[in-house]
Amino acid sequence: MLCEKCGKNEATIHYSEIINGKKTSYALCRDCADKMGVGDITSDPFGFGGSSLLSTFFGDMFPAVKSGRRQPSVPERRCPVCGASLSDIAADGKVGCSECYRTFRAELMPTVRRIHGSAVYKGNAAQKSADTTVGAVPEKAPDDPARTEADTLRAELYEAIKNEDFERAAVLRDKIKALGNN
Amino acid sequence: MSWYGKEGPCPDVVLSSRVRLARNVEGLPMGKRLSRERAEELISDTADALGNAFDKTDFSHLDRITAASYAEEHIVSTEFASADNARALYKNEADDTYIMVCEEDHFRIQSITAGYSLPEAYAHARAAEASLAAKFKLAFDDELGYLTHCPTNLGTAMRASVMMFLPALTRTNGIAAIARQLSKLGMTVRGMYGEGSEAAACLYQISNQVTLGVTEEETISKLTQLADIIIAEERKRRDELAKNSPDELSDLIARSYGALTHSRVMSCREFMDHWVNVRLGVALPSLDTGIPKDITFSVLDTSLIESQPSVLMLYSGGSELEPHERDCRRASRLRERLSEKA
Ligand SMILES: [Zn+2]
Ligand SMILES: [Zn+2]
Repeated sequence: MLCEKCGKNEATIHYSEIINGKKTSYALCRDCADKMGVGDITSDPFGFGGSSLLSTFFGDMFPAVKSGRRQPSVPERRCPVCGASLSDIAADGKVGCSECYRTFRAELMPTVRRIHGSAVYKGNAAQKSADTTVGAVPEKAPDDPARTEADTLRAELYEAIKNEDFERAAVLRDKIKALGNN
Repeated sequence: MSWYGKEGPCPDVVLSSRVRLARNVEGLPMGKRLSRERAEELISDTADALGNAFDKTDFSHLDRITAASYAEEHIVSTEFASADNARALYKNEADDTYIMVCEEDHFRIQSITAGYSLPEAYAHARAAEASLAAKFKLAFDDELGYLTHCPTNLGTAMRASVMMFLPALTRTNGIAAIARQLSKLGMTVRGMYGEGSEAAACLYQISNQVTLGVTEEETISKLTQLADIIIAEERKRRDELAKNSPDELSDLIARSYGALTHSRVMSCREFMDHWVNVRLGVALPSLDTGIPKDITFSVLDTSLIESQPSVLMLYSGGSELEPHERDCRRASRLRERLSEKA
């Protein structure tokens, strides 16, 4: 079997990990495994853990973003707080601020699900407040039918992702993209 | 006095317990999107939130050696030590709880306690978080938990870990099996001080990987259950090693003790090998190794930290030293540290 990352060398390392209930397996060659820090016990004493592999795959998690880049005529939506676009987030593997999780909720959720499985927060936060829920359906602008349609689709997309119906999610994501994201 | 100068529970296997929390301020840009002005504002607001219980170290204007020495003590991340953005470290008086401001997240709270003491470390970290939460609105979502710069940390945004000394498991090739088991259970093992896959000092950090869908208490209790098993297995294998070849093992340990207390030039790599043997010797008092009683685990753990390049240079006056000069200073520091006890 060939390495899933480079597709050139023989895969000698079969790596699987279960992160937050979701199992992911990779067959990798030695070179790619080394590059990704997989199977390699690293020396960073503080490393918050587990992110090197995930950020490497992060790019692959945004098929919509990649094709979006090839269409520069479509203006990109940006986070109102930090100004990050979805392709900025995909390139960095990191959000620009907490508001990004709200602005790009529908687009980020597949990645979140891929990292964490279907789990939802269960910890002991000092504060739990309904008003800050990222999942809230955005407020509708009734005089803008395109916007309303996109919002409806986003809500459906969210439901599809929640039910792990990724095929339907992909269709919905394409429809939202066709509406120009605005 | 920081973690390595104290002795906690199960010091023969566990050097330290750590709980780290990532927290961010609602509506404030993160990482490279945070301007220098706003970062500095956040740093000074943090001082207000913490009052005089914490001391500030401004990393933006810290010399390289001092900054790196904090990383070698495990108090800050290596990234934080070498970054060039506006950032600061807050350290409490007890020297067991630290807050990095403007690391990857706005706040990285870390509590390190000596030995096997996760619940204590967790309590300290949560207390520090409460001081921050009283002043800042921390970014939080009912479904995703604490909102972090990197989506991998969403949820509790907590990493709990124990640093374990596992020479017998390493020698009997038991680490790979542990790593496989841990990964199935949402935990990871990382070797420390390693080059490549080798953990030169037989030190491993066991920590949780899962942050979403679990409570902090569940995470700590699961980690504790696994650590209990590893501690028992390591002790069993040490006893077997000591029983099967007592003469060879005591000879190895005694020679290493001789090297640590009599060398004139000691490279980092050579130090690690001897350090492992001597620490194992202290854990096996039934062996005749000639190591004095007052060479304790915390004396050895202190010598481990003091032998790291930057801490060593800081100790020797704070200027850059050539590797050979460092090896000489390391040897003399070890003689002082370990012979004054004898
Ligand atoms: Zn490859
Ligand atoms: Zn943002």
